[in-house]
Amino acid sequence: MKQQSSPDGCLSNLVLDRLLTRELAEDRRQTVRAHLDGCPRCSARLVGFERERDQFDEVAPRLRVRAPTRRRSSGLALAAAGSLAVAALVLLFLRPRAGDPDRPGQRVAGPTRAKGGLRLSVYLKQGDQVVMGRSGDAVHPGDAIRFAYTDVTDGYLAILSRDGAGQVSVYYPEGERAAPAARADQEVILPGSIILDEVLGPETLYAVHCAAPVEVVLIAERVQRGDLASLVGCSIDRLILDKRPP
Amino acid sequence: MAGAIDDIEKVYREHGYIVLRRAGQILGDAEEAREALQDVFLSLASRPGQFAGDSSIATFLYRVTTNYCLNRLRNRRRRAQLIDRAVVNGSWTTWAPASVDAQDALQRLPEVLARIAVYYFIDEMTQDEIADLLGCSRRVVGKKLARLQAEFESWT
Repeated sequence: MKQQSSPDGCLSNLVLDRLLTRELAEDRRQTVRAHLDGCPRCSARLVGFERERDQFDEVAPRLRVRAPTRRRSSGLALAAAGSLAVAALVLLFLRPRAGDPDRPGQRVAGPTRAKGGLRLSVYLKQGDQVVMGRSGDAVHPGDAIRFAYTDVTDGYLAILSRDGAGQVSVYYPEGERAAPAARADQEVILPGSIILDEVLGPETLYAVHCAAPVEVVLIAERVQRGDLASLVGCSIDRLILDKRPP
Repeated sequence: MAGAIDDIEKVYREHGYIVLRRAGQILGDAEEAREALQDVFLSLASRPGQFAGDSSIATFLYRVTTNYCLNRLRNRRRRAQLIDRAVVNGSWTTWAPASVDAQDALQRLPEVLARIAVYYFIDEMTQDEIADLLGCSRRVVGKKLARLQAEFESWT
């Protein structure tokens, strides 16, 4: 088996990237430079990487993060990473307390998965800023939301909501069945985003993670009835946003 | 080496192009690569302690980008034209059947082999570099590559 897929002695992309980001020690940098002086192939690759680096600001969105302004939940410590904001959506975590499934802060575990590892997160884009909010934070019509999850098992995932008028919507996936969702020890951000409509009041978001494929219509019916706990083989996580006028 | 990242914006400006490029190569789609870029840094912004300082930032971003993209591939099905992808120098096409595109191959492979395939074919890393990245011996990497080749051959 060849030591590397490229011609012997050529530099890996990682080495070239570390050269550009000045992460190589001096002796290694000299060795790399010596190779580049004699290798048109690697030199051309380096030129390409330099161009990508130099054009990055033009092709990539700005990145700014705003630290959350309110905290209502005591369970989650958010990392306020300076003043960086992201042109995407922010996630909210709700740490449920024991009690009625329909009360805020309640995590509903399916009857066969008492210790579900499912965690729903929301990233919220308000204007040109992206915020990781908290349960109970105010949102407004026109704000955009993107979802993420973590879970300890493979399964099938759907995200739904019930708005202040009691209307149930399916936010994820687009198809008729809950989408395959691999085990995620680290947060997995789901594709796509939704824009909040004009209906005010509490916007309850539900993540439903099931061991087998489930029709989202079935899940939506249970949300409507307030009976998600009856879904067999499913874990549920929930959080509630407070939709207010702009 | 410094510990947790305390200036995400600086890391984004200086290293973001790495994430964008590699996500494009692994996912095979420019728009998805831009989403991947946002998601990787969103995650980093929310938990800067993910970076423990036990490697360079570039090395850390290589790992998290690979993990993110492979997760994303496993969560969706997608086909891409193998020939159009600048996967590498032709070695991929030598190994993989022509009917199998890169993203499909990465979806089909077991996770560890998919990761190694990315590092070996897309990132052109040596076996020693891969071993260092994965925290295993070069011998283990060699065995995994042999398994990878056998896996491809079983698809023909």
